[in-house]
Amino acid sequence: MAENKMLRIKDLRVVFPVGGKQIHAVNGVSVDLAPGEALGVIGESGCGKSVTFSSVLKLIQSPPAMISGDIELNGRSIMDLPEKEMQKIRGKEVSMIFQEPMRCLNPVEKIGVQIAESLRLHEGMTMKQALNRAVELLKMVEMPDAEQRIGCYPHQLSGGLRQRAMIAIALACSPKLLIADEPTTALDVTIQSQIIRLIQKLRKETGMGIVFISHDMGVVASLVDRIAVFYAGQIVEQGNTRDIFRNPLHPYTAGLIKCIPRLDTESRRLYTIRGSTPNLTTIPEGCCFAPRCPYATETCRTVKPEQTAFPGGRSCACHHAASLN
Amino acid sequence: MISYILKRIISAVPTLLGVFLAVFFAVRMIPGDPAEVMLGANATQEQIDIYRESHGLNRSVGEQLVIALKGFATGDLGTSVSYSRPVSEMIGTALPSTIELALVGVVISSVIAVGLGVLAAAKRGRWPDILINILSTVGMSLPTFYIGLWVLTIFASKLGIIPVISNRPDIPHYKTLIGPVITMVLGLTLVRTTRSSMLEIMEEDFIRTAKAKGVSRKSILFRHALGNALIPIITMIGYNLASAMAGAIVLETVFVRNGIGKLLIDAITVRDYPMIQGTALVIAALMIAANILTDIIVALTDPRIRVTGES
Repeated sequence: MAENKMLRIKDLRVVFPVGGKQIHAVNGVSVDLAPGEALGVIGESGCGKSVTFSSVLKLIQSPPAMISGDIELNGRSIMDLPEKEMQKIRGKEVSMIFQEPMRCLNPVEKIGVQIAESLRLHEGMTMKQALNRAVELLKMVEMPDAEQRIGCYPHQLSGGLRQRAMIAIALACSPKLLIADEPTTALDVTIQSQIIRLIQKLRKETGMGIVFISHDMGVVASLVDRIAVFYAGQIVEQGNTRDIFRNPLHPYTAGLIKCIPRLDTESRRLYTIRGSTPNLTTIPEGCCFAPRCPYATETCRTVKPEQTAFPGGRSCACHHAASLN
Repeated sequence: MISYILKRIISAVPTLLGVFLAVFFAVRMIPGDPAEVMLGANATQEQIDIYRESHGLNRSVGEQLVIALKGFATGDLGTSVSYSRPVSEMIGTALPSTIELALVGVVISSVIAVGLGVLAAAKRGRWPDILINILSTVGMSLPTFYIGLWVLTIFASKLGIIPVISNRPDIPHYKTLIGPVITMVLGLTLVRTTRSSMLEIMEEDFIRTAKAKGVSRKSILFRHALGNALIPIITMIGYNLASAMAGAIVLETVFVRNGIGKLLIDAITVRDYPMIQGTALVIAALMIAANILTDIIVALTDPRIRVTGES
């Protein structure tokens, strides 16, 4: 099983020194992904989910950031890979799409040229070949009038179309893994569902693995096989999507699920998890969710809960996981 | 676009009229009578009167203004008092050399300054950045004439590479450019703009996208970052070109090089009213032209301005 992982993150820690203090953005995250698997990564803003998966492409400037632990791609550790080697992995083996399609495209270059750039870099295509391929890619991401659109600048496209162009760039060199960092957060709800359907379709067509980062449980539910719930730079629960939704083990996961607005219940008020995310400059002694947890006991406040395995390949870091179940 | 350019050109006319009027009154406030300055201390009253009459200086300021405005409207800049030749002809002879200096100087100094600015941004916080920062601060703080005098001292007196006086006929033309251009380069005006624009752009999300695509650091720096930073940089280059037209006054005086700036300074010395008005007007027109040109180039460079709506 160990050999069959395309991505393996082991005890990843990322610390940012900011103004004399240290922000512990990621505190010992371990997660892995089988080829072609889709992992949903859930958590509130600032819980370390983006930092964790940006580290897979080494997009975090280090120094200043201090990164420890290990990240393996297809069994090869990337931690000590030189920049030149990383450039061959980025956009070729692993691609990434981001939250703000408005700001993630170069405003002074045509869409076609921006798609062609990856193809020329990684596939050694000529500009002409690359532009032809760019049209095919835009058709693949269901961009209307793809032939004309390669000559468009980003500002001429709507947010949804720009995100489609972003996806076309990411998929240009048929990566084995796509990291989607909140790709629908900045979009209208209708466009959101279009993009999710598109990613679903592309996954089926290409068989690539996907890491889908979101703060919205509802968004990932239909898309991923497995879910990892992040809280304060740690994974508090991991498991199959179905299991997590049916039977969340961690009180935080349960809270997140309750936060999804439902039309089929009587309740009038939307559920919220009381309190706010902890300050990451100090790591608390016990469970980091304890201050907000309705089930917290003295043990929770003093003893850090370990990741415990549960049947069905699940794991959870909570003292009460078994009893709450 | 064409209607925009026409609008800009038409709106330049009131500006030029304003400059013309301001200069008209300003020169008449300078102490010293043109006739006395021209004819020297030993001139008789009779000579002075004849001189005044022949140059229309005996008329009232109001009458002189009407004549000058008529000239302005018809494009006739009058006749130089000191040279007794049409002002427009004198300017026509001097102008190419000033434009040449401004263009060559701005192009060379911009290329060097942008290069240094990109280098500083790429090596942010390390010694090349610190060194470039110190140099550009010194260069920008020192007045042009002061740098010019040092360039003369070193390159003309000590090394003998360039002439001390450039308007002698026996000097090869290219040599007259070297000193002023070195002075403009040492001003390092663009370094800071380039550095700060580059650093700002490097923080943008699309730079992260480029990095995530596997683009090399060099290509990120020059293609993605500089490609975008070029827009504010071009604006600054245009501004520099406009001020180089006026800066020619100082450079042409320090290096004694013929040009419209030197023409203006000489005209002020002898109170050559029509010549002062004419040269000041042309310098203002050149500055306006440089600004319009800059706006056009920026619009052509930036697709967000050039291309609107969906194609």
